[in-house]
Amino acid sequence: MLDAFFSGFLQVFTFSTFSLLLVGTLIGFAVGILPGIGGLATLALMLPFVFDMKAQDAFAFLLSMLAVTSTTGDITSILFGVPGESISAALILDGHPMTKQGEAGRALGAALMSSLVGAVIGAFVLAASIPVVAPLVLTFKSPEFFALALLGITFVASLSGGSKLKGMVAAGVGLVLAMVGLDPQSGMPRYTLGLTKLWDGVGLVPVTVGLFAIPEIVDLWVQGTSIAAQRVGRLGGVWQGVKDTFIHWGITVRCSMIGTFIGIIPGLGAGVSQWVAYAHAVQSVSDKSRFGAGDVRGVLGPGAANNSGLGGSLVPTIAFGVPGNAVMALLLGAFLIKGLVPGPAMLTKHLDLVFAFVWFIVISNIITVGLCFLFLEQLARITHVRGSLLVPGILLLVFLGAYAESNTVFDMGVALIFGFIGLIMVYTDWPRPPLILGLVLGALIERNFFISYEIHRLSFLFRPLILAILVVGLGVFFLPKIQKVLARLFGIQEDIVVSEED
Amino acid sequence: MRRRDIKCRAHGILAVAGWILILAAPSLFAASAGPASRSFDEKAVADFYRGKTVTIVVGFAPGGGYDITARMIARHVGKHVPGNPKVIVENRPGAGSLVAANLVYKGLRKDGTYITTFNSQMILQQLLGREGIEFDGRSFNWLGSVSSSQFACGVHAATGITHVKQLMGPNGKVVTMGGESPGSAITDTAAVMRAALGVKFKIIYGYAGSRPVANAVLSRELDGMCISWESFTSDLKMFFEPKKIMNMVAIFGTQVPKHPWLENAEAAEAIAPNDEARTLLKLVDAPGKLSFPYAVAPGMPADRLAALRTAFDKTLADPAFVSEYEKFRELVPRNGEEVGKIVNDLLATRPNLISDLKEALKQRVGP
Amino acid sequence: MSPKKIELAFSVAIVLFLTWSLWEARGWPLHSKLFPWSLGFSVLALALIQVAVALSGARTESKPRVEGKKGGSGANASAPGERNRIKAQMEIERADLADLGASPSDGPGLTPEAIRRRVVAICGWVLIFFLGIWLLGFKVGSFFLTFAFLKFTAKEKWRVSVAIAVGTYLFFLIVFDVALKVPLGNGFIADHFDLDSLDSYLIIRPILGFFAA
Repeated sequence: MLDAFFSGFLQVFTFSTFSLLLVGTLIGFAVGILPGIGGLATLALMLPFVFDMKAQDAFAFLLSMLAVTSTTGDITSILFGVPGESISAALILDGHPMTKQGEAGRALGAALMSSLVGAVIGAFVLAASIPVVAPLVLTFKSPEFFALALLGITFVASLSGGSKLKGMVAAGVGLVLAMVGLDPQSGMPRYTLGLTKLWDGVGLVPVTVGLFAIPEIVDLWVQGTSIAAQRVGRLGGVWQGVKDTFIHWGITVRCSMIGTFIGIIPGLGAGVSQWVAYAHAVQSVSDKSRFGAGDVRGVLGPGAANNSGLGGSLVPTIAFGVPGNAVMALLLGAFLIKGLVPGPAMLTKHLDLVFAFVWFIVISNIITVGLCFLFLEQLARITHVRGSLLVPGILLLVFLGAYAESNTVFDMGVALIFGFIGLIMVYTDWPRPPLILGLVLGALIERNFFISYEIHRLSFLFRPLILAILVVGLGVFFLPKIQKVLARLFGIQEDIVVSEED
Repeated sequence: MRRRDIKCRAHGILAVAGWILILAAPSLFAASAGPASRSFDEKAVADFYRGKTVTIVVGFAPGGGYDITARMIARHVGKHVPGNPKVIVENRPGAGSLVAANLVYKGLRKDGTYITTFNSQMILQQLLGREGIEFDGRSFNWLGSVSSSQFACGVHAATGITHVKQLMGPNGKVVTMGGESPGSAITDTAAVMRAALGVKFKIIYGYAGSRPVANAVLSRELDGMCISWESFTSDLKMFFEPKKIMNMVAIFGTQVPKHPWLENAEAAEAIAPNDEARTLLKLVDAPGKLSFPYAVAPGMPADRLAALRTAFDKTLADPAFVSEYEKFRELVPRNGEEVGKIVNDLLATRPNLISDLKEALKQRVGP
Repeated sequence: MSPKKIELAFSVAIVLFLTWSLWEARGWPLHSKLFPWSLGFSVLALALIQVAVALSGARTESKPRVEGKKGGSGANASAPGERNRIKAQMEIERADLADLGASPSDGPGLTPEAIRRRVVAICGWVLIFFLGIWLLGFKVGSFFLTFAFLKFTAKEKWRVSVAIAVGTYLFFLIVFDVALKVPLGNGFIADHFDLDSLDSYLIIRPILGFFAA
């Protein structure tokens, strides 16, 4: 076992493997920054090149590329408020305000360092859990997915802070929007306005991009300054951001674990875990006043979670050939092309290769973070460029992000509509993350409810694991209330503290 | 004709302006393609395609079988087309590839620079009169298809079912089979199997695709699934290797292919009770014969169509392509004329049979 | 309109949207209707409460304006997180549109009228970019849109505008056409008239032709 672990490490450093790892890292680096071209599309573009490679080289190439897209995807979220990957959207909430306050360097440093920590934790969980994870993955069936999705909804409470009512309405609207498309039970189109383009539902990417990025553009132009309104020392301290990762060590590690765990469960993924991680970061801290206005902890949480997911989602793919998402399905295709049959055999015959995967993820992330630190100064300097020069470029990136997932102008229209909705929401104090969370989870909830009901009838609600998840859910939902009651008993009222700042 | 005139004029203006070196003039005067002969003027076609880009519009997101197949074809097909155009892949996912099929059929250029690949299941949907279909499969210019397979049904070994007879008759055991929403292959094949043979399949609708269904079978939430035999032998190998945990019970068609995993399976048409049942089975299995079909919009010039068809045949026989593709999936090439014939035959199904099929698919609960 | 009024309008819009979604689902079979209705009705109830809250907020505001703002933030009890962010982000517009006037600390010290004009202008440009990309595609569109924005709205120098516009064009050309070979479409105009990407006639073909000759 330990042998395989180290021989896996040595495999990384053969010439062909390492050079392909470098190439993969560089491609992933560039593509991760581009909105709209995500890990999935990149992998598909590059797949034909792996036909002639050795298995080990092929996966060095593919995994390093994949590992890196979620790291560099964070960069545009922080600098421009445009998510480079759909799994980087939660970094906008605090990362971009930090940039505006001149702390781009610190935010980037924190995002990159937490990404690295997340990736490493995810990768080592992959290594450690491969032998023992079998029962876990196969325990999760539709009723559990249903309960987990419900649990996810309860995080709306922390994502909307004090404005619970608005948060709940926004999440509800998101849930209703998730009903758009073909009904999974009868195949009947619902709310599709007669458009086949809506049969698959409202696209998550265009909604996210519109909702978050367009208000930032409006703001940038209205401010009439550079993105960073002030200059804070040298770059606002890249080094400070790195240190923050370790100062708030607990959040980084816990959010990495959240990302890994959610990644392991097929069907969920970083699209959900980034928000859960953010909510967790908010929840676990007593002074929430700076969240949303540029709290570095709001960067660390999702930064770690969206990277740790990769290691997590590889677990079921390798151990059972059960890919949890489209990216993993593609990777599974690559396994088959290379003549590897995922499943228990991977853990005996090819164990050193599996451990090499772990090292590919870790090493490509280290290289990326190293590269980023070299360029960070230049990167952050862009926030001091006159805003008016950046507006057209950012606008193009926004529409590109909306367009490129399905290559359709229709999605640009969706981004436009949600852009204006986002603008109104920002202007009138409506929290936006609950809407996204509702949209992500709505279809999961409905689908898994019906499947569970068809198989178990209503008795599925009394499965022990479900009950456990639901209890946790209620706890999460009511915890802030309980805290508030306790706080009131002891005469501390956070809200008062906040409103005094007005 | 008016739209065509405008196009002519637009081309004309640009040409006169003297900016243009190569123009697609022949495309504007060519009549729409009739029943194709394979002879064509190599030079005229080469003149058209030289320096051009041909786009393969894939009806699915990157990464799936359709996408990967298209990318492999894109790598090789260019050198077989006269003029050696650049060939690229564009993903236009949506509505199970219906968006792409509709788009190429009527929305994009019809000069032979757009090729589409979409789910052949759509032809069956056209037959059933499903809403949203804006094309006629008979009018598509088919270039061929890459693979071919029968559908097959298997159940998890833990159910103790080893033979399809155990699922039939009054004492037959009920098994849960995975389904997406109605209209998808895995759902409809299971439903027809049930209607035609009377096997006790309880179909659980609503999974988000064949992959989640397979996961659910693996975790024993479901008892089994029906999907193309070709998928069982590629994507779903984990059901058979290293340990065989899936018992194949039935396969569509008249005979069982020779394969160790199919030892106990029965051919559905061989055990079907009557002709109506056999026809239903044939109908729903037909799209499987055209896995990964390629088509061009109607109305493209005949000589280019002939050139593309020839190029497609050459590609599927090209050793470089074959060796690549066979690592990925089984290659069972069909040429454009064959595909066209299968599609026409399918769409010529008698109305009473269509309503039988609709009835079989509508049943939510089994016999 | 003041923030409170917009808030009210937005809440009412949500109620209308939900009502529509419920009405639309009225004839669906039970399977299809179960979630849209059970979700829809409960969210509608919440949304109606929200309308009531917004209504009281708007009413508070019709008292003296300065009071209105304070009352608003209290009645709203908005999220500490999101609200701080919004404050940081929208401070100027808020101040402006609540007719409080821009305080000296508010950014570059624009008049409320100027700010309003900028909001309208940028919203217009978002729309123009959408239409431009739709009509011309990303590659060609990026050149014209970038140039037009920089020259006519941002009032940049000719040199700067052209340089950045050419830069964005080259970005799309090199990254998507040449390097990734990911097609981004040629735009509605080219598609409608069955043409190639418009720049290919003006730039790429003459250049290729020059080298061929």
